[in-house]
This record gives sequence, structure tokens and C-alpha cells, in this order.
Amino acid sequence: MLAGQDSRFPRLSHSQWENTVRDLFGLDEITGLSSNFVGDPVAGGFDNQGATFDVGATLWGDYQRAAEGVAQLIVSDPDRLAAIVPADAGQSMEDRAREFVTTFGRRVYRRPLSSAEADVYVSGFLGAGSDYSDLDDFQAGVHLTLQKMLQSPYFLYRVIDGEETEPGVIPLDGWQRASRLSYALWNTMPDEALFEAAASGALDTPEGMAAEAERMLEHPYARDMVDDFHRQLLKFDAYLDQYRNPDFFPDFDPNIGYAMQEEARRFIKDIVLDRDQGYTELLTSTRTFANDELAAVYGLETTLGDQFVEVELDPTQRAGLLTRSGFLMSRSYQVDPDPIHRGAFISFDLMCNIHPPIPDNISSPEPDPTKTNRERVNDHTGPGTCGSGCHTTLINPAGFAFENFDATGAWRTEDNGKPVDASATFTFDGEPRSFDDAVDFSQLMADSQQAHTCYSQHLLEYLHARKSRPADRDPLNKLGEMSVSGDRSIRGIIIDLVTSDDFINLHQEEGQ
Amino acid sequence: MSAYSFNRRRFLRGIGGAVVALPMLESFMPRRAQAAEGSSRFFFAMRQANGVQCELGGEPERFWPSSTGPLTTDGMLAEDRAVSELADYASDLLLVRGTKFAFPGNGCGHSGGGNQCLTAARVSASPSGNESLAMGESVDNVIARQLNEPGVDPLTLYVGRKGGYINEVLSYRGSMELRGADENPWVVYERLFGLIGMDETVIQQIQNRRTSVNDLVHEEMSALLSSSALSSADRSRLELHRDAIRDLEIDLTCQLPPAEDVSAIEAMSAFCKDNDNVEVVARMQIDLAALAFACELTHAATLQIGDGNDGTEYTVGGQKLPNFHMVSHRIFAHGSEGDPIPGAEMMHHEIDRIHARMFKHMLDRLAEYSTSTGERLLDNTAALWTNDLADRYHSYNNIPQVLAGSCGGKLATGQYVDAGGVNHNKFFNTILNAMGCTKDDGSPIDDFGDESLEGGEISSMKA
Repeated sequence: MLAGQDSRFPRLSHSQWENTVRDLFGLDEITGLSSNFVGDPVAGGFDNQGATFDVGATLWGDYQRAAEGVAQLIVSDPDRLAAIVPADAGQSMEDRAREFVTTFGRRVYRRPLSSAEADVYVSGFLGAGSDYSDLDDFQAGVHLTLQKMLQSPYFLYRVIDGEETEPGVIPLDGWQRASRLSYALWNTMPDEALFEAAASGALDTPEGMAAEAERMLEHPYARDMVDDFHRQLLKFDAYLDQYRNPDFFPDFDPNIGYAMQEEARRFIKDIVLDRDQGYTELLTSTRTFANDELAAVYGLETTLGDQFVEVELDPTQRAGLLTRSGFLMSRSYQVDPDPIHRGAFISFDLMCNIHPPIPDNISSPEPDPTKTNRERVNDHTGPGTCGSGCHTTLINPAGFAFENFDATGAWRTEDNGKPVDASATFTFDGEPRSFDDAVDFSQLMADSQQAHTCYSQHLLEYLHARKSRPADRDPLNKLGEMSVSGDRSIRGIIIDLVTSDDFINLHQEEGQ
Repeated sequence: MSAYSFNRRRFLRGIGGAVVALPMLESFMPRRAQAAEGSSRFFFAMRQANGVQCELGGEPERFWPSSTGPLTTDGMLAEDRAVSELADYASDLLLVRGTKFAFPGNGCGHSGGGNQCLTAARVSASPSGNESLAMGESVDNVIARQLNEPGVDPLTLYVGRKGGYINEVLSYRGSMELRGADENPWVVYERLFGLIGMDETVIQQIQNRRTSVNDLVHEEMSALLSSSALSSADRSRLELHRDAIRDLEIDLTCQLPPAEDVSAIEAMSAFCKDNDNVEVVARMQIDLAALAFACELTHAATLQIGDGNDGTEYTVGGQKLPNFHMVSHRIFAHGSEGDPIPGAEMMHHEIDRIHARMFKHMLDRLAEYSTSTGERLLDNTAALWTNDLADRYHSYNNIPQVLAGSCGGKLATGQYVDAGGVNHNKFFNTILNAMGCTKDDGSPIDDFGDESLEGGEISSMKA
């Protein structure tokens, strides 16, 4: 599947499989069975791009065993079984089987079963008894039906089987929109209210979609979504597994990365969901959440304890997520901060600048204890070096803005006995802009439509579960414009993206 | 009667197996001849990351023998090189220096090397960097496609954590179609030998149920495939899924280890990604690969040791070393700047030796199993210890290629040869032909890898 192309058969990711099984059966927690699935290699972008996931022989076998495991888990527990089957009210076995197949089948297929589909299932249900020694006929029918349903392509894929209304455009029906919405915002199947909205036609309009999306953003699953998106965008995983030279940082605790992840999660969810604020606040807020460990990094002279509490940071030093501990520490070396990788991340990941190919084998800067970190980086990649083409304009200036933060993210004013210089010039929206330090730089970013458009592009890629494509450019620019002007909070951008024409219709462009 | 016509005659041969008891798996050693046919051929590739310690940048040679030519056990032991760990198998070895990757990486040498390692294909421009992909099929896939039962994948194994920067890199179904790799040997065991210890009635019932499920799913897949306006990418994905659906019949002719040995694998399940278990898990994966060959469940298997730029902290002499990637750069950093790691050169050499011993474990297993005609399984195998980089500078020139097994007498074992700086597609052309693979028209393979590469074999590798 090519980047940016929609699929009529996006496959559930393994985490979506787990969440869906949990919610199908009303389990308190996921089964964990997908941990035995062969992994889906992810090449670029977010890890939910179902159009790139396939089912080879190995995964097919994994699905088979997992379906058998789930069937066993449910049928062997009377309470779990009772939760998904109609009560035995003296009806015939066939009637009871049909009611089970049609009601539960709608949840598995995420649409009503056709009568022909139901007939096939009922027939299989009634004939299942002979293939089980340890179950009664009804239990056997449920067991075999669950095995079938959980291996059906209508369960494993979000099947979009409508007809084109114009070349390459397939409108989604209400059921398909419900699934698309729930997997985008919740990473799992629709709940009953969303199914009802699909059945009633409420999802036929963007307004109806928006109403459901607003409701869904109040659910705890939406908090997980916001967390997951930013975890991948900001690479929270890199906050862990850090090492600092004990000669320079004798008190450094490698486990501090966990606290930094927690801080970032709380900070982002507070901005996005609790306060309904925008990307500007994400880039400029002086508020964060810290415990004693992080208070030391931030130079806070209060005792916070082990629990995270809301604190205000020094507004002359800190502004927004780029001045938070996790970003700064994870893009540092053992002794010195790493302005190249700080700058590259900002330029390419947060400003969506395009970089030329990076050379494979890069030599080390010469150690020189008489120079600052910035001077050594400049000697290695700055003007007059072979790396200057990219580094002097696209990378290093953005990284130098954060030279006031050492390799642990703590504030510093000197480097190797010399004053830190965090000033530079960087291009925002095609215009070079000068800044004095990280606070200054973060405000320039917050005022840059390019930055807001880039963030919106990542949100689109996550919620639409595909790479962006040229046709996205105009709507993304519009979102960026509204975001930078304060007309759209991040929550508002999310609503716009899941009610857009591109979300409620499938665009299939052969050969794209 | 089935509603479809795909092959129902896949034999999964298994028996026995339950749980418990470290230490390790000695009874994985076969107690009697296994089922592999004497004419069958097998391919195994173990990938080490980060290059090897060799003569370069002022460091002396500690990997390759001092001169090309015949290999003997005494000669290899006398030189005390990393490959000396394999001295017991001197007459089975074919060491090949002088092969290189043809194409540059795309912003990340590790990813570019991993992409090319078993494919000899170009590296994608999009995605690029650490996310780049190979633009062609890997050699294990070619072998599985030609020698396995229809629809049976090559075994794709992995050891260690998946750190997220670069994970599995080796096995490709086709251009940019990277196959996931399994890091949990218990999952692999279950997948290969799952229905174990059950009586025949129960097994028959399970098979009946699976057949019933498969009939329905196959019918649904076929209906979806008949949809109009399917994109070629969707069609290809659905066909892959439909073709994967097959019935397994349980055949009890291949003897598996007793329950207490299988239990060691199960006990490791929760800890298989732990740094300190890399060597133990690698040996478990190797045991399973060898057993899968002996039972002829697959003809191709790969094993990746560590993530893309293996960050394992190996232990040597009771001392845990720094992150292997850092060791390979000789500095406490993953980038280009950092404090020197004292003794990194010897650490790298010791890590090379660890890999050599893991590879030797595979050779031990292959030497212990016999085919139906009484030969060692090793004699019917091409087992490869390779690397996705050459050396501490992470070059693509002179990739260390250590082969073992003559593949039915086709390969010139007992030799250390110099291929002369050729692209490594020729290395794989030679192996594929030794395996008995052919082009579609039945002629020998001379075009593995990217179509722009000069074809042909490496004649000094051939017996």
C-alpha cells in the first residue's frame, strides 16, 4: 500500500484487536493474546496505518489460535457466556442461536449481518455439537461461532464495500463511519450509542459525526488516544534508557525518564482535553506537572513529594513542551546537550521542513575543552564545513535556542566557563526570524502558521491512519491558519479532521 | 467436501511437550533420526549487527584468518581469531571475504545495511533513514517460495528487545514488504508444534472445527476479492490472506523433546526480551529452527540477534559490557561524539566470539540431526553467520560472511576464499543454486537482488 492511499480493507492493529475483543465481551482488561501475534513492522509514520498491515501465513495461524483461545475463555465461564447470549427462555435451539448470531454478529462485523450470512452461521452453530466432547450443544455452537467470527475478514478488517459515486470516491455508510470514528478516537470498536447513531442515520451528516465525536472525546479512551498520538510524535520512548557520565552528573538517575514521560503525558492531556487549549499553549505554557525528581531538574525550591502536582515554571527560562525535561534530556549526549538532534527534530518533525539525504558515515567533532558545545558543533557542521548546507540554516539554529539547558534538561548560563549563547536566526513561514533564547524561539514557533500546519498534518496522519498526500495541503493550511489565530483548539482540530470529507468518504486513487 | 480447492495436505508433525525445568535443553538433542528427506536442502542465516572487530583504524585483525586457503581445526585454533570458535567445524566452513553491499543507505547505515543484508536490493528513498526498507525480496523468501509447502512462510526469528529505532530488518516478501520477526521462542514452538499431547479424537475434532472455520473464511475472502474497484494493493493483501488459509493435519512422525525441556521455553516466555537472556533465547530459537528443519516444516529460517543497531549489553567474564552499538563505535554514544570506552576494541572482539558460539550451537544441532538417508542435516544445509555492516566504521565493504554446510556437496567447504570485492548478490546467487532453486524457466539463478547488478556466481564458493 502506497503512502497516503486509502484502503477498502484497513486491518486492525494488534492493539485494536485487543481493545476490540475486550469491548466485544465486556472484559475488564485485554486478554493479552495478541502478544503472541507476529509483529507488524512499522516503516515511518504512526503505528496504526491499517492499510499497510497484511495477514501472512504466520499471522493467520496466530489469529486462528487466538480465536480458539477467546472462544474457550468465554464458553468456559458461565458469567461471560451469559453476557453475550440470549437467556434460555424455552425457545428452540435454532431460535436462540439465530438471536445470538444476529445480535452478537452485529457487534463483531460492526454492521448488521445479512440474512444469508446469519443462515450460514446458524447452520454451523446447530451442527457444531459433534465436534466437541466436553461441551453441550449450545455451548459448542457458541464456541464454533466465536471462532468463525473472530477469524472473519469482517472482524479483522474495517471492510468498506460500497460503490464508487465518482471515480475513486466511495462514500462510507453509517456503520463504516461509526467504525472509522471509533478506531480513530478510541482505538477500538464502536459502543452501543455509536451503533445506534449509525442505525438511525445520525452519522450521515458532518454535524451528526461531530456530535458523536464530541461525546467520544469525553470518554477515557480518548485520553488514551491523545496520549498515544503524542507519545509517537514526541518519541516518549526515547526518554528511557539514558546514560549520563557520572564524572559530570554524579546524581543522575537513569529511571528519571519515567517521571519525564509522566510529566509530558499530564501536561499534554491538561492542555488538550482538560482546558481545551490550542497548539500555541502547548508551545508556550509555563505550567507543568512535577514531583521531587523533576523539581530538581527545574530548580524548584519546594518539596513536592513523589506525586505529581501542578507547578509554574520560571517564565524567563521555560515555555512549552520544548523546554520540558523529557525533550531536552532525550536529545543530549552523556556530557553535553545535542543541539543537532534537538534542532533536527524541531525542523523536520515539528516544522515539517524537508531535508536532503543524510550522509551515512559522519566523523566525530574534535574534542576541545577550551570551546563551548556550540562552538564545537559549529566547527563540525557550521559555515565552511561539508555539512553547512543543511546545518547552518535548517538544523543548528533551532538546536542552539536550547543551549541554556544541559544534558539533563537543567538550566545553565555557562558552558565550559563561557557564557551560553542561545541566540540565532531560523526561518519561520519563509521568513528569517532572530531570537535570543528558548522562550523567544518557542513564541516564534507558536506564532508560525507553518508550525501549526505541521502539527495538524501529524494529527491527520494519526486520525486518518495514513500518510498525508498532496490533496491534504489546502485543508491543512486552513487548519494551521485557524490554529495559529486561536480559532481552533487542538480538540477543535480533531473534530474538524474526523468530520472532513476525506474522513467520511474513502478516496482510492489507483496507482497513486 | 471443502468449498474450495486449496491444499489440505499440510503436515504438521508433532507430539508431546509440556512444561518446565531449566537448565538448558540438552534433550533438544535428537534421540533418533528425524524425518527430513535426504534430498532436502535448508538455509539458515544468523545476523549479527554493528560490524566485527577486524584490522582497521590501527586495530589488529581478530576476526578473519591470516590467509585464504584451506581451513583446518589446528590452523584455526592456532590463530585465535573470532572464527576460531568454529574450529571444530573447519572442514564444514566456507569463509567468504570480499563481498559488499551495492547501494548506499538512505540516511542510516544500519537500516541500509539491514535492508540489503539478505536482499541485495536498493534501499527505499521514502521512507528513509532508520525507517527505510528494502526494495526487493529476501533470499529466505525465495527459498521458502520454491521449497516450502505452498503458503508456508520462512521461519523469521529474533532475539532481544525491539527498541523502536530499527527493529526487524531481514526478511522481505517483496519490495518494501518487511516480514515481522518473532522474539518469543514459546510462541514459535506453539506455532510450529501447537497441538501437542492430545489424543487422536480430540485432534480430529479440532481439525474438523478448523476446517469448518476455514471454509467460511475462505468463502468470505473470495467474495471480497471479487469486489469491483479493488486497488492493486488491496487485492495483493487480500490474496496473501486468502492463500494463507490452510488446514493442518497432525502427523506424529517427528519426535519432539519431552515435556520438561519444552517447559524451559515456556518459562522463558515472559523474560525473552530481557537483555540478560539474549544468549539463552538465541539458543532456544536455534534449537527450534534446527528442529523445524529436521521435521521439514520449513526450508528457510533467519535469526536476527538484537535490534537494528544491536543495543544489547553483553556479558563477558561476568562483566556486563556497555551497549554493543556504543562499543562498536568505541565511544559512549550512539552518534558521532562521545567519551571513549576503554577497552572497546577487545569488547567488540569478545562480542564477535559470543556470536560465533551462538552460530556454533546451530552447527552442533545440524550435525546431530540425521536425514532419512543417514547424513548429517548440516551436510544438506547452507548455514550463514552474516552481518549488516562490515566493521567498526560501519562500512558496507568486506561484509563478514561465514558459511557452514556444503548444501549437498555443492559448496566448497573447508576453505577461506576472497570473492574479490564483488557485490553480494553473487554470493546469494551461488547459495540459491546450491539450494536447488531456479528461475521460473528452470535455469540457474543469476539475477538475485536489484536488476541493475551484474549477475553471476562466486566461482570460488562452488565445489
